[in-house]
Amino acid sequence: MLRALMDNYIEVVAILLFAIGFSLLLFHPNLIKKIIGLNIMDSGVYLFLASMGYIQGKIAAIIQEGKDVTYINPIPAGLVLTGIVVSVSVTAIMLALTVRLYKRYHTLNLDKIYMELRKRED
Amino acid sequence: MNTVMYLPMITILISFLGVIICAVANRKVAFIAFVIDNISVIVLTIISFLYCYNNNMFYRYSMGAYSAPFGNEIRFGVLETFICACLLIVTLLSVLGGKKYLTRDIEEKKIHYYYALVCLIQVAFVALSYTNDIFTGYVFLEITAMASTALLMIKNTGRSTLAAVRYMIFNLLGSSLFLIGVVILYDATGYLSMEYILPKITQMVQDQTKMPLVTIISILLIVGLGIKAGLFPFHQWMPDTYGNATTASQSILSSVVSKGYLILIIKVIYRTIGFENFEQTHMNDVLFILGILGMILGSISAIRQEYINRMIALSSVAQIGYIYMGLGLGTELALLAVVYHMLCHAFTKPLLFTSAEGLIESSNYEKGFKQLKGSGFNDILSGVGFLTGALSMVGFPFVSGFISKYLFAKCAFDVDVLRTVVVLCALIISTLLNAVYYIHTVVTIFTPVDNSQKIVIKKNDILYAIAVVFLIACNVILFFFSSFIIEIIENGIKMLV
Repeated sequence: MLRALMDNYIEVVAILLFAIGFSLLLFHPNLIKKIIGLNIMDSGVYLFLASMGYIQGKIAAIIQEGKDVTYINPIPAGLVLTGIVVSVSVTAIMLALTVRLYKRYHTLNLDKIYMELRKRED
Repeated sequence: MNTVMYLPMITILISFLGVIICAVANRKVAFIAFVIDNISVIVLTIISFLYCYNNNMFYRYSMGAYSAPFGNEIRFGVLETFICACLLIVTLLSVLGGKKYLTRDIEEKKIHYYYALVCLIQVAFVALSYTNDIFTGYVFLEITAMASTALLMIKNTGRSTLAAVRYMIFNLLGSSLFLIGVVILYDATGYLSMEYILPKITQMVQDQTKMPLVTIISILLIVGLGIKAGLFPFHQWMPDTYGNATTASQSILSSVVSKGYLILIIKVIYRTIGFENFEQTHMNDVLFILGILGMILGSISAIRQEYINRMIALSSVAQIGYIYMGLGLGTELALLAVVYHMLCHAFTKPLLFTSAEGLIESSNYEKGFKQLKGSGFNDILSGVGFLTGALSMVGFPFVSGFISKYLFAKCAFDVDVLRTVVVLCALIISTLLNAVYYIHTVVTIFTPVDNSQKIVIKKNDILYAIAVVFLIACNVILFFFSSFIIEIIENGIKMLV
């Protein structure tokens, strides 16, 4: 099993990045760090996809005349680009929400904002 | 190619056009544009539905004439068009019912953005109904998530902004799990088109060394979508979200958006992975158990709530638990019950949220149960609306909920004895728990209050009245025309795979 992990080290690192980003997004109280965690998590996914998409010995999917070449599938690259666009959009929305919360509560800590809301209720 | 083949694609494009027009127009023009947009899409969807129903066939439309698996395609049959048409009607009625509260909750110059966001949710919902490609499903999932977060945060209070952040975080956790599941699925099978993935997964299941991969893919896809759609342990965001949004957002989020996610779950289980393969991974048992836990514990949490909005939100968790239980059972009758329950829930929840808001308004904006005592007599239309919705959720005859609960009970007998017993017990306990909080609330709002300074029979806004009356009518129609609708859904399920 260790052999399999060493052979596929890129995918292992990608999943580690995914796990780090996921736990940052879920557990860390600071809003900016949550957004950073979201981006790390998405980077892990793109690394996974890009590493699976590459095949050694083949070239990018642009036709080159005259040589005996084979091409890699361009779809994984397309999927990564789509994912990046989606990730940028959700980061923009999360940042807008963070700005709004900061203007209202003057803190970036989500736990403190919850406590303040609960105090106001009581 | 027949003109009707283009119609579903045209509905998506018309909805996009609606987004653009509503985003730049002023408030009145945006509202008219939204209504025209929605009604035209409903009419076109009904035409496609009638065409598919008469020919008893499903059709495909490929983008740019490159057929799958090299190009993207949408596939529409009886089931997809029917659910789409019903839920678009729900969208229209939700916005009409919540329109008078939009001026109260949102700044004047931002109301046209609200209609643009609802059109965007319409785009995403229609695309999710028709998609035959799993990555397109992911993209429109994200669009739904962004539009629904914006629908929450457009009400610019502290609580709603916090609820929007929490909602977005849970949504992103779910989407990322779904995305990595799609990535692993693509790497393992080589296809993104759902029908081409199915034989590959069947091959992988038969080859026992690849079985763990299929299990991982199933877990990631189902848990990812489940987090977004309110699967039992991941429903913590629901009470805050629904409790702090404006009324139309509550209705749209609880009915249309969650049904969009559920349609994608059904497609993933039945068309992408295949139910026989899904059974081999035992994820169906997990869904079954989590569904039952959701049914019971969601209701128990709802009983403890002090505010009517949060109570209705937690009852959504219980109702979605029924759907997961049916998906876990997996027989054809169970899938029929699931789809029927989706329709019943989609027509009942907006009715509950809208009439609850009417009752709150007639009690001086107090949300607690003590303050709502007797409000049914102040605002009779809202009271009757809430009564109908509550009876439907409990499962009384003459309203829609009766049929869906009956179908769930009927489908319990197709499986092995242990599951039959568990399902029937869960149905009984859940119905009793539903009755506890819903009937209690109905009795509270219709208790005459001996208070001389009340008795202000409110004059309802005409659009609000239309919305509530139509929603009540749809609920009753779903009961009286149930055999016809069941036949439509059965035809649709046969063409689902």
